[in-house]
Amino acid sequence: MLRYHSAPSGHWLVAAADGRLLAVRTPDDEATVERAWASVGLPLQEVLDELTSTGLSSTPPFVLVEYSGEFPTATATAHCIVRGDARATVVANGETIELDGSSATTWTERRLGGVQSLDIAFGTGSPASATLPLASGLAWVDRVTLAEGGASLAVPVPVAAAVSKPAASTPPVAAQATPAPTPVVAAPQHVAPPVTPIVAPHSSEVEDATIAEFTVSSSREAPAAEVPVESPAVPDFGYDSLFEETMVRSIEDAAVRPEEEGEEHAPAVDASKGDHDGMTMMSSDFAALRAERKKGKRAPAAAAPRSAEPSYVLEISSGGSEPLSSMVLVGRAPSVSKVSGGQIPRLVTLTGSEDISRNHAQFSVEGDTVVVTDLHSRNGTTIILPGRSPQLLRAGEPTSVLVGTVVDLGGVTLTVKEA
Amino acid sequence: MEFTSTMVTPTAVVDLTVSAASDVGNVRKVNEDSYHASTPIYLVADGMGGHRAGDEASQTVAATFAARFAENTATTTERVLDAIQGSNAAVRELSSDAATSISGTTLVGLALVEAYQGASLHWMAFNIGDSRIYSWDGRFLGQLSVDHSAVQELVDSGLISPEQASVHPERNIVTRAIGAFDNVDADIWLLPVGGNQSFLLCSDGLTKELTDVEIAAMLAEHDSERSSKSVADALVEAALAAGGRDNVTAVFIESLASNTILPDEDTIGRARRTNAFLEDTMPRS
Repeated sequence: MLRYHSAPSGHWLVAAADGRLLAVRTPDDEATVERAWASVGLPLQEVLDELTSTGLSSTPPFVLVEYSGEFPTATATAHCIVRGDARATVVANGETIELDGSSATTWTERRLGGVQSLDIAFGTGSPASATLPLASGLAWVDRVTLAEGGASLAVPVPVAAAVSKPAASTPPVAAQATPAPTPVVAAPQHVAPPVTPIVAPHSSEVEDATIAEFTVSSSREAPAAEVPVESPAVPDFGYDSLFEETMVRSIEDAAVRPEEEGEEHAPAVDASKGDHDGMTMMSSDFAALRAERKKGKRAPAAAAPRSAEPSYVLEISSGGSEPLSSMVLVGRAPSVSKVSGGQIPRLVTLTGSEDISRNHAQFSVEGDTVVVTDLHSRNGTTIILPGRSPQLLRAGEPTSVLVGTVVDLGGVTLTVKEA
Repeated sequence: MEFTSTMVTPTAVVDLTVSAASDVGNVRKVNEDSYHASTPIYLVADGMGGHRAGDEASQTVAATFAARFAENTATTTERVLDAIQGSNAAVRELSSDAATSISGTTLVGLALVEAYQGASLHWMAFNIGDSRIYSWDGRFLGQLSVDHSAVQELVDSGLISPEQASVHPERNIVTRAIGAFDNVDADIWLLPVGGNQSFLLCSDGLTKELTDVEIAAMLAEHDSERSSKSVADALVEAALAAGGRDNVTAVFIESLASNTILPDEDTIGRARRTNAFLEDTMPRS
């Protein structure tokens, strides 16, 4: 049952419909009120399109909730999106979850199961009034609660949007996804990203994702901090594409999030609808995305220290070793041409063999896998996986190797070891 | 200004001759260009923005770098990137003080870096904006940096030719600059240090007046006959003679490195201009 505390007009307007709640901070004018009412019944994605139609920076603070099932039962679900200074408190499976949009540059989003109650405070500062029930309609509000009684079942809508700030309680992403190297695609920014379903470890499916984490969702437990997430450049050399695995995508694309287990992933954003297809980005949007990604990079380290993340070293037969903390480029006289984004590979000069090319091979760590790529060297690179026969690498093809693998550059060998 | 210095690292001994010159030009009233030249870091910054904001911006960048690097000691890529971000923050600070105008500056530079003490020495070139870095090997002048300018984007997309770019009405619009945004993204190059290598850093006041061919001819002349005039002075004077419509700044770095970890160098005469170790790898017989 939806109830609300009323507030004077001109602050937060809530539109309620079957299984749907949309609150927007808006001035009291007929057109915007009309629009809020018209969009509340639309599929979630289209509501977001409507809200962000003037660009992210001029998108008003809003709260969008889609809910279904009987509150409070295990089947009750709620999908909450909070932008700006509203604060939603959700009790789900006995746990209280706070969603605050004010610290996110885009919005905070959670999809929750087993929802017991939902409380959204808008902080308009108006004196508390008696709570009034609201079945369907519009009201100026200070606070909205959703508890017992619940929703008549909403029409299930394919959901394909999620951008949120990382929360401290980010559960580990289950390891169902292939540990294979993250596909390195120098994709143009308009290509919808491949989405690998991430399986939540328990059924309440509390999920959080940041844009940064999302780009590495196909490698298991990849800490976002390890992934170069700066803006792409135009690589001159074939191997440069490897530093640039993260692409700038439109907000909607980046926001496509996986559905629960067994489901096909959500359809990508419908790009065919008019101007507001989310493909057009303003420079301020880029700035917002960058800021978001920076946050994503810092947060995991600060909030939830991950358990011993493996680190590797390269042991060089001619002496010495190199930590594989960043990308390492080995050769007789290695060089790097025009990279940007602050991700500069470490150059390791190998001596003692004429067979080695100037830029011979490149090592990187994708997730927790070491990936070696032969950089079209003259004499090639051979790898010897533990207990296997030697294998010549195909030039330019990233190949993941195990600890103990010997990489033979011709005259000099490098052994991948755990640090 | 001209000086020589020698830098010794565990892997190399590098002898450097560096000259630098800057002139306000024949038309402008203020020189908004700045440079910093002190081993291991050299840079040219071309400021923009009215009300003296441009010269302050470029001076701020030069001062930021000058304060951060110990002389004659190889630095690291991380420290250079830090200094770039630091100077960006400092220039943004300037803009926030002066409510009237926003200042910015280009930045092109070169540093001697090693990943850690004892690792091999590299040249690190960095660029933001439309100042340029060229490499000179005694025969060929190659432009290393790619301008971050509106016309460069038109050239890249094939819409205009490089010749048209030099007279294009929007040739002064840069697409990246220090001080423009909270974050700055520099293009980076890393090149092995070895043998004879020379680099030219310059503001667009030089390249708008002199073609690459003219610059190459002057560098070749300098190589063949030693004159009392430094390379940077000669280049700036030539640009002034050709019109000097903008501030002109040039920093020229000549290096001769003997690499202790690249044995090829010991067996090949120093007189050779090309670097044997940079040549193609021979197929295994």
